[in-house]
Amino acid sequence: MSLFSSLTRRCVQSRRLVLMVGLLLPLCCLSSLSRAEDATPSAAVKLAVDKIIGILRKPDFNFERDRSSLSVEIRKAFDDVAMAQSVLSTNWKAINADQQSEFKELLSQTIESNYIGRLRAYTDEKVEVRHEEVKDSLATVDTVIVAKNGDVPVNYKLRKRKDGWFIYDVVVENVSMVSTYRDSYRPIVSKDGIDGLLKQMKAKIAEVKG
Amino acid sequence: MFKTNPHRQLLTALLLAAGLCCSLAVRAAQDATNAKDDDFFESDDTAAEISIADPLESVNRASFAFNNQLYRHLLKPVARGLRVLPVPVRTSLAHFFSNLNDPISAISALLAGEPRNAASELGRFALNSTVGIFGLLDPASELGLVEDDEDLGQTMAKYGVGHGFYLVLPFMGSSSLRDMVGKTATNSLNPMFQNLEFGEVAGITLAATEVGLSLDKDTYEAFYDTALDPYIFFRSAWVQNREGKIRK
Repeated sequence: MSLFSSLTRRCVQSRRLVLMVGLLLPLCCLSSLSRAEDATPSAAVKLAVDKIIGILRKPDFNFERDRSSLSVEIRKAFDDVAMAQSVLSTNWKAINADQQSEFKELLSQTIESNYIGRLRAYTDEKVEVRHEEVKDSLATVDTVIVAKNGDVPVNYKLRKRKDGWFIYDVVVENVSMVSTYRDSYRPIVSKDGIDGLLKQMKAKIAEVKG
Repeated sequence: MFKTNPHRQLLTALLLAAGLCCSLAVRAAQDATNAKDDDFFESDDTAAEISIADPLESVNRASFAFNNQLYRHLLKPVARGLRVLPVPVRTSLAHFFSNLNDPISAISALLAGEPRNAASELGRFALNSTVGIFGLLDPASELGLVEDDEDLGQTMAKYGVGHGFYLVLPFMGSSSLRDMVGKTATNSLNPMFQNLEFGEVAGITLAATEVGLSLDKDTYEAFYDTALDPYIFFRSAWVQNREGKIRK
């Protein structure tokens, strides 16, 4: 079987896949939305993206020092309950309130430790908002990262709450953060139960923090 | 191995037919078992599950582990070495390798009933091969002919062929029955590589891979190292990426 086409394409694809997944990182770390309750979804995303890029490009930006403030900003822009519920899917209702709140906290930490660690690599890209679609209390905002090696489409899914629009998923080149975590956790819950999943998440967070 | 061969077309047709039958059967089974989201996600049709059958999971996991070792101990160290070259040089090289695939994308787009994309792909190839010095620069993108990642796997998908099942191939990584059939057919159509020996093809492929990796920012490692089960994580990401390209 010919290796070339498949391997080249595979290379280009996997590099782009890897790149795009990597580009989730800075964009997930969207900073707080100023006057969030008044903003349209795309204005909310634009504001947040501009703000986070602003922080990263500060002349005196210090990764270690600014890491905790970035973490605070992520939690402001994201709807952690919606993310947790969406990731666990049908399992969400099957677990008790304590387990729900523990899962929500561990998921937030997982996403943070995953993404903050990657932040510094992607500060030069320009982000453009291309399209917005609102359906009742849900919205999708399509953006494009204009990068040297080709544009990377990044779509945000938002949910409207009383206090504004909040991001519950980021989709980069068709790969949804929520779907990927959902697929990853489902077999673990089936095999080891929710307590097994929580235990493994805790262990992994500790391991990554090293 | 890449010389034109009258049996090749028959083989391709048989593979396509076999892939079609298997895929349709598996897909029908999957549609019946897809889980539903609860609460506010019930109204969100885009949150629908995308899944793939994985009957060869244990074999796939072995290939995945092999590819991981290959990546970490061979491909990545070489790519790091390549970083002595300036970024614009490596970006140009990446365009060159990408340009080699444009005629194939054109054929796939045509078969999928998208003549405009096909014209764009051929236009890209012509433009980049002439104006752009064999694809080293990318004038076509500047003129609005955006690269369109068509392949025969996607073409088959547009005719309703499901993935069949997930495959991780040593050296080549994630694929599915349908996409592997699509790639075999794609390769048989590629005029440039019918005339190359296996070693030449492998060499060019390796070079393209290394250039691509040298431009990447260690993202594979970041996701591999933080995932509870990297195999499932990358399988999910791959399936979603493919489905998205087909929906496009």
